[in-house]
Amino acid sequence: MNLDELKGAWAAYDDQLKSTGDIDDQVIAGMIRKRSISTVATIKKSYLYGIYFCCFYVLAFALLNIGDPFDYTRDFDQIPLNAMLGALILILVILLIARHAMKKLEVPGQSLLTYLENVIKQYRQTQKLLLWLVCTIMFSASVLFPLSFLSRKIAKSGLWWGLIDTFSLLIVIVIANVITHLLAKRKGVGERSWWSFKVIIKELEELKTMAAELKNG
Amino acid sequence: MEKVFIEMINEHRGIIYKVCNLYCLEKEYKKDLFQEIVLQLWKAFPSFRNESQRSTWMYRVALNTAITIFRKESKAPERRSISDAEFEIPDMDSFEDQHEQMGLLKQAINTLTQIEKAIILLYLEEKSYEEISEIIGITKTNVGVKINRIKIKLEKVIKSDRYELR
Repeated sequence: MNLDELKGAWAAYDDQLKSTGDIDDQVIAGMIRKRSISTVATIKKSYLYGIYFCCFYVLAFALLNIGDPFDYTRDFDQIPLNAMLGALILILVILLIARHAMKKLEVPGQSLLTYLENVIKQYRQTQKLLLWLVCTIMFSASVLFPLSFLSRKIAKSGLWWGLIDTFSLLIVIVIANVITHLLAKRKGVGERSWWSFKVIIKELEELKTMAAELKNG
Repeated sequence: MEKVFIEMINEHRGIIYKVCNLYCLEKEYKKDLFQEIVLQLWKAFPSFRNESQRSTWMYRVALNTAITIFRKESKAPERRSISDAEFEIPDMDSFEDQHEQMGLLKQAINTLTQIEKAIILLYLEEKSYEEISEIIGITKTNVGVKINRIKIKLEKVIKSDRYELR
């Protein structure tokens, strides 16, 4: 039996499908009112959560700067907080641009290869953004924020005790993060969410393999 | 516009059935994929300007959705699966009794990669190499090469399945 004979079977299958009843109009109308569960929709939603997150913290840091609850006496004490604020604003802008760029993917009407390449580009961007976001938050919370208290602690306890006291917070944060990460890994938390690098890397590899298969003769 | 769209879906529902049957084995995933394809077609509908045939356009959207952006593992708690009473996707299995070759064809196609399934689907639908090239986004020459390779692969699988059946 060869492929041309199978074409006959396929044609018969096609005829059988044509003989099935129409789908109820209300059922189709219901489908177009549902939310998408596509990758594109999931990435867009993640970007939106990131935007909300950044907005909240930008507002919080702006209020901290205005209110000065830590009673900073010197201007340079506020540099770390300002740096954190600056980084958050930058991330917010990048997220807004990235979300806008998703419009290209909203309508999958291009050829398969073009669409695949656009989605791969978006995955790579998401991966970089996520890395940038995680590093910024970790660096800000572990280094910049404690640094804002450094001069006061040095003035109070001397250089070395001032440094130890300031960075003891960093050590506590690092330990807490490691424990949280290990516990989350054990319970499989976030393995299927967009906040997991594993998911993004795996999907990216699959898409790249398909794009390579298409391009190679 | 909604009425025209619904008529179009019913007229070409076979395209979506075939894509769903090729890319999903489980019933619930097939329904999810069907819904997702219909939703993506609806989003793309306003920008469809008849530059190509409707069926060609629908194949493009359906295959892009099935291959690139439909995630089987995604949990969609807000999506209530359509009940069997409302709608059911005719499976290839339901036609196996009429055509024993259908079983062989189904088994053989399941051994192909996602890309190969897309190309063979269009070939079996008697799309020209030019149309396949337009939908997939590769050159006509590349289409020819790939189809030949897929044919060889399928024939090997079919021959070995037949040998096992004896």
